[in-house]
Amino acid sequence: MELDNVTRPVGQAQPLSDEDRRFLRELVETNRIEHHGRLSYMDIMFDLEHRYGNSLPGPVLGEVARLVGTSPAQLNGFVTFYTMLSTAPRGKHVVRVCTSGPCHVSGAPAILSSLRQLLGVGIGETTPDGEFTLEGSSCLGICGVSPALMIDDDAYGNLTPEDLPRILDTKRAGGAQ
Amino acid sequence: METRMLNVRINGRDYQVPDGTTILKAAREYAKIDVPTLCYLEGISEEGACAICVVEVKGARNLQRACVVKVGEGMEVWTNTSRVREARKLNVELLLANHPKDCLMCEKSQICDLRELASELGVREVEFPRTRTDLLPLDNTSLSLVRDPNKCVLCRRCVNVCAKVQSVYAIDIMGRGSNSTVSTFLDAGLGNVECVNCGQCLLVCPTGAITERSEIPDVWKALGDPDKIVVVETAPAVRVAIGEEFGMPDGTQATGKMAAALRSLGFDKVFDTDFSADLTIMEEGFELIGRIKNGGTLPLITSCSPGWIKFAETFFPKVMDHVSTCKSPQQMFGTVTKTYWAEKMGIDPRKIVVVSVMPCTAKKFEKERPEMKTAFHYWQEKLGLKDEESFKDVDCVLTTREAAQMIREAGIDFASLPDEDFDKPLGESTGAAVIFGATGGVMEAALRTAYEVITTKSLAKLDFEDVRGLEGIKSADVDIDGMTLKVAIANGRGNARVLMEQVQKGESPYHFIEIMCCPGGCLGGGGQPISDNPDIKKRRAEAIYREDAGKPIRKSHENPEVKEIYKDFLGEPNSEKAHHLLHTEYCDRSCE
Repeated sequence: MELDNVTRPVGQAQPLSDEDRRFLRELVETNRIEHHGRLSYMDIMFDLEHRYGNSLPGPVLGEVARLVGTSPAQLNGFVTFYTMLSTAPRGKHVVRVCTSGPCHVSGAPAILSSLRQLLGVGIGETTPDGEFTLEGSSCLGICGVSPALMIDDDAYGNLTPEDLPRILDTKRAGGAQ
Repeated sequence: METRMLNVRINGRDYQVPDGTTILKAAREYAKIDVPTLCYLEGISEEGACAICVVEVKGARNLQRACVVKVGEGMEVWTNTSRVREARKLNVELLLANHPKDCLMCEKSQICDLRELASELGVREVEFPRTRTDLLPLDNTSLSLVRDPNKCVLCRRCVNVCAKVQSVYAIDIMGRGSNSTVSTFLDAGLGNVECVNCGQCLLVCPTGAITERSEIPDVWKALGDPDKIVVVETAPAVRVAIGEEFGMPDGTQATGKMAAALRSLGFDKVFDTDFSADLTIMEEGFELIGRIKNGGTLPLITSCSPGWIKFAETFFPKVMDHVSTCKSPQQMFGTVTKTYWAEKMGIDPRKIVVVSVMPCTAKKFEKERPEMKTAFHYWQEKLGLKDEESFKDVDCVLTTREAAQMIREAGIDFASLPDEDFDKPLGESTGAAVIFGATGGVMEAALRTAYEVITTKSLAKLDFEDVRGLEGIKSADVDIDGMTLKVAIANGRGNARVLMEQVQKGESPYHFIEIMCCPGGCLGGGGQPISDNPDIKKRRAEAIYREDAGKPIRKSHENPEVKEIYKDFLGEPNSEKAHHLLHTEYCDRSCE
């Protein structure tokens, strides 16, 4: 018997491929072994973001919830608690500009406005070419080199607006610091 | 081991309380001092989320939340200092800063804990500006419930009842800090996730953030349409609760007044879902007997509770063959009204509007299930109806609260109405049908019939005390002329899950299991009046069993109108026609 989507749980509407399912099963099992029988949700989320383009698609989260033995809503609650995780699609690179106090007084506002101009997007937005998503961030823990930002897993400090074009170009070309 | 007693001084008087007692419990139960709470729900939600219950503890720098801090030896507590009063008031004001101030129009205003608290604490103005610039969107996706996140105070009662009591986990806190909301997976809405529409969240919500999807306007419209014949059916649990809405004592049997009130509202016929409950017992009882005799799938599990059915379809789809194929009494009633009764009275079924009054919010979902159009298919060929002329078996579902609201709107003085009877023939019922409203009732009703049908002897004692009571899981061995029938009963889905995991593993020792979605059975349903009496379920259950005891006929198979419908229309229980009209099928809603 067929029922419309209105009465079905989310996630069933877009089934995952067998390859995705295999990947997720192995990811969760590996994580369980690495953590001696426990699970690190955060590590799982980071691995997922690496695979799924810096975001956590709904059907993937639904399947992971099932694999780790929690409910989809609870896992979603976990994901939305952390600002660095996102269920919405993001660009290839995520630029996180620190907006905490020490960075603010040493020039973060100028860095941010310069990035807005260079990328042509506001906070929370992605460039039309899908390369960069611009985000504000709470303290990155590197106040000694403020103002600071992170792109993906790389941190940049002692920034001036003049440094930014070079950093973005390097990232765009696929390089690191 | 004996529990150590601790000395505690509350507001200058000394008390002894057992080790492990919270300050809140010590104050309320031992010192008889009320400490106001908002988020607290004993045994279910004890999180200290709202900070209304703050008290001063000597030696502690900050105010302590009485609901989570346990009494220590020699502790000195003050519940009524100006610091405490100011803090409580401040916390309520903070909650009110973003809360809509539309209490005049709010459905819950008469029973809103937040409004009562603001009034009790003397909050006269809120000095904090609104910080949310836009209104958050309503969740209108569910066929049963509407969520208004703007009225939510993030107390987590709904989250906890959904998880701990019902084991559904459909909602949780999303986001953090001032941006937190209670929402579903991916904000998809209650209608798009595993929510089973039980409405227990609505019952515990302290504000108007969760309400039922109201069908009152549809029913008024039908009642005002001279071309329609509007028929109402009322579930067993409604009659023992609706009086509460009109200030009658808890546990009042208001059957006669309810029938009179519905008649006064303008319903053409006031019928009784109890009639189709008796019919359910005939079908389900014979299904059980058939499965036992023919070696069919056992245990057989009851199917009256639509919240339970959706739960089973979502979490236990592989064992749906254990669930009885019988429709619920509500749906059987709709089908029978639009086939048997329509035929008997010579009424065009398209003119009939079936309204049911239910203690349940999930019934609103059930009536919309696409397969619940049996009467239409019955008539389709006979009348040459096109597909687009299809009609539902049951048109509208009102909760007990909505029915009471309509009675109020009509200006009917419920409590002083004379007792009236239901209309015949679909208003005839037995004591067996009445007890459907309490957990264990379907089981007991089925046992009364199964015993007499299997043994062809008359039962000496009709009361199966072992299957009564509000415990989460009950089991009993019933002797049927030398054969032992093992039965179990669960109410609340956390308990249902325990029995279902046994079934799934193939380890269930039972022949017959009754499962009701809500704690206490239908009398504790999500459509019932919201009560602050902790013994309310007990009071309603007592009323149900009193009603049963007072009925002249107490066995479903002896209902004269049920006998007649089999003779004139259905043939035998579980006949092909009965199967076609009164049974249904299920689907797999699991995410796998």
